[in-house]
Amino acid sequence: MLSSMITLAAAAGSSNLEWFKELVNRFSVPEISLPLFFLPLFVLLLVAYKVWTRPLFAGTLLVLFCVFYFGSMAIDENYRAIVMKPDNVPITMMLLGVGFCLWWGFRQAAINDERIKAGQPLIEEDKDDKVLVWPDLVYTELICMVIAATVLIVWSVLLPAPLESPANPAGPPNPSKAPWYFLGLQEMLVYFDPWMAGVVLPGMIITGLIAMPYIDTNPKGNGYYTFAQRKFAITVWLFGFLILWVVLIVFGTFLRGPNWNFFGPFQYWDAHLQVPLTNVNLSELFWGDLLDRPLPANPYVREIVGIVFVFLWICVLPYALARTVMRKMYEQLGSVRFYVMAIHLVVMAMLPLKMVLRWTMHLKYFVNLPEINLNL
Amino acid sequence: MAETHQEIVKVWIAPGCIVCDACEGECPEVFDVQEETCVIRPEAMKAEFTRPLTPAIIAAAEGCPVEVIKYETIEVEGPEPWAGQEEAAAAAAPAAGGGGGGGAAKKAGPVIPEGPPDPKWAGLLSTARVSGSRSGGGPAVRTVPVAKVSAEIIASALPGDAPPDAKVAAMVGTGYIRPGGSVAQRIRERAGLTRREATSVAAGTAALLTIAWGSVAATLATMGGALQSYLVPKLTKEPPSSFKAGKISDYPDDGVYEQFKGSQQVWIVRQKGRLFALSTICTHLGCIPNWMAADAKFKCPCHGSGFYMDGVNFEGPAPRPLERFKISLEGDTIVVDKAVKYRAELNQWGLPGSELMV
Ligand code: SF4
Ligand code: FES
Repeated sequence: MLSSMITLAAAAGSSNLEWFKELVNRFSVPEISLPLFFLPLFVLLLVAYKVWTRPLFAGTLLVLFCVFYFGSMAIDENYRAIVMKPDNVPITMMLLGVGFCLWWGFRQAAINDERIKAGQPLIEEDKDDKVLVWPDLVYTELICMVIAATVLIVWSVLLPAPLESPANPAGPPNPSKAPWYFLGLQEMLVYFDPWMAGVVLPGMIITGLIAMPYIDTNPKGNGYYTFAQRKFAITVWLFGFLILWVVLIVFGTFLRGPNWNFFGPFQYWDAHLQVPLTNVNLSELFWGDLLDRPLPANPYVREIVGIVFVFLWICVLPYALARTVMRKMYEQLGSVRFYVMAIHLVVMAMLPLKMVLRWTMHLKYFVNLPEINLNL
Repeated sequence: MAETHQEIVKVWIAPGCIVCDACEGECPEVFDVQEETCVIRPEAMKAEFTRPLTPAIIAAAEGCPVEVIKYETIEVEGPEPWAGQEEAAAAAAPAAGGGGGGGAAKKAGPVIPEGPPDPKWAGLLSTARVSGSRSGGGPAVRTVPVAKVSAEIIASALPGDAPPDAKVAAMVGTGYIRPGGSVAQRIRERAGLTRREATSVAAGTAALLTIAWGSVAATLATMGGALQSYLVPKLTKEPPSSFKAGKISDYPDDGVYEQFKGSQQVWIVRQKGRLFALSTICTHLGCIPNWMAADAKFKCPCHGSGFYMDGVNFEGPAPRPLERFKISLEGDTIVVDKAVKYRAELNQWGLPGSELMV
């Protein structure tokens, strides 16, 4: 039914939309879309949260999103194949779910922040949301359980699990993709050594999440929505979650094709597409391009710039932050809390930094010491 | 100065009762321990009732492990009417208890009145002792349990700032209070069974518990066995690390030969007069790259690393070239040994064994 409708619509939507597809394809490469689309969008989301969360505005955004997101399925079969692939259905759900939660949180925050400014009581103050375990909670849980079970059953019947033939080492699938929820990590692996992107960074995501309640002892925002009172915390969190996780998942799922090359949403996944991806290490840039000398034989001398840079970034930058821009925060948090926070922060910032350097300078590694399996 | 003493005119229970039964044991005339909390019997709301019971109520209040029993006293002229009685009791039971630890030696003896009560109060006491039982089965005569050691003695054996539950533990230890009683006893009290019936129920419970813990033990043992058989390798014979890769004449032209990719994870590459065996494991995260003949490169499907035909990494995130395996000639047969590796970044390419000149 659905697919026949889409085919019909596809027939109707004639090929004069090619310019549009071409535009979207060109625009979607990460080095353009991240700085020129997703980042501005993120900033707007935070700056204009009182505007876009208005129900009418948000509703319009939702409709626009759906028209673009689902409507595009009618005009391009490559895109349709990607979106309708059973593996990728959860991504669509995730996008709508993340959007809804964002809207919900920011909507409440917008109302509360207005109220705080006007000296009125918070929304949460005049409602008592305590319920009885029995029957209220248990009934709610029962209903949720039934709904969830139904959805899962219907889903698994309609979209069968993507089982493939037995693994064959001579012919791995191309592209080889992790489960959708790991595609952010897989996308990170494009920029880092597996030891970094597979162990250190995910590990620091986890330690950061664990440390959060101990670092953040600010009572503001406890039990009520607000953005104005928690700008730094919410911005950092959402940057990590939306840009460095959700957007990367979308890239990894929708826009990475054979050989992990980047493909626009309306582009055919050509396994023989030639994409120049030659990368150079910082040491090569330094010794070769800058000093015009051969690489030193001693690997530690060779990598000295990178080693110094990483040391400065991870060890000195937090200290510098504590002395300068984050001085007030340092005084509030105390040194242990502050440095735990700051180290997580600078490590997190290494990902976008590395991305930008990869796009602009084709930088491969800051420190490339395969001799001791250390690459940063 | 005329002699005075204190008598209790009002007693009540603050929130926090843990239903430990201690107070009812001490002074059942006043305290009625119910399912959820302890209450003051209605008749004990009057001052005339509580005044003669002052010592018992004080003992109960001090014995309460969470100290929720509160009372109000008035000063009354004259000596304590119960003073003589207490001493008599102490004399009558000089060595009673004795298990109260160090404190027992310091105190004169148990302070619980024993023996015939003062005739003045006897009538009152005998009516008060007839009261509704907890299980609600109509009025029943309750006997006052004779405490062997008083709460005071137990408490004094503990440091002054001991937490309430330490007191409970001490009391349970000395038998002063019996919080639960045996399983059989509890079942009997709850269900109103006879002693024989209750004993059989208890036996059933014990059997069930045995079965339950037995199955836990059996499960753990099975899991332990499974874990062991999982950890200990079943296969003790490893496939040989080296294999025969045909003759040099099987590799006539420059190119990548993929016939051992599936079975041995090895590419045989002939390039510019050299023959070498490349590992098919990507040096990034271990995926298996594809040889793209048209583009003359190996390309990894996982994160896009690219390697030239000689195995040197040039694009994507792979930090080092593909590894070479030891390659040698036995007669005119090529033998590849995967146990010996040659890594370019360690300057091992070019060593004898890393390639064959053809
Ligand atoms: S002694 Fe205290 S805690 Fe125990 S039943 Fe009486 S009032 Fe409750
Ligand atoms: S495993 Fe080959 S590029 Fe990551």
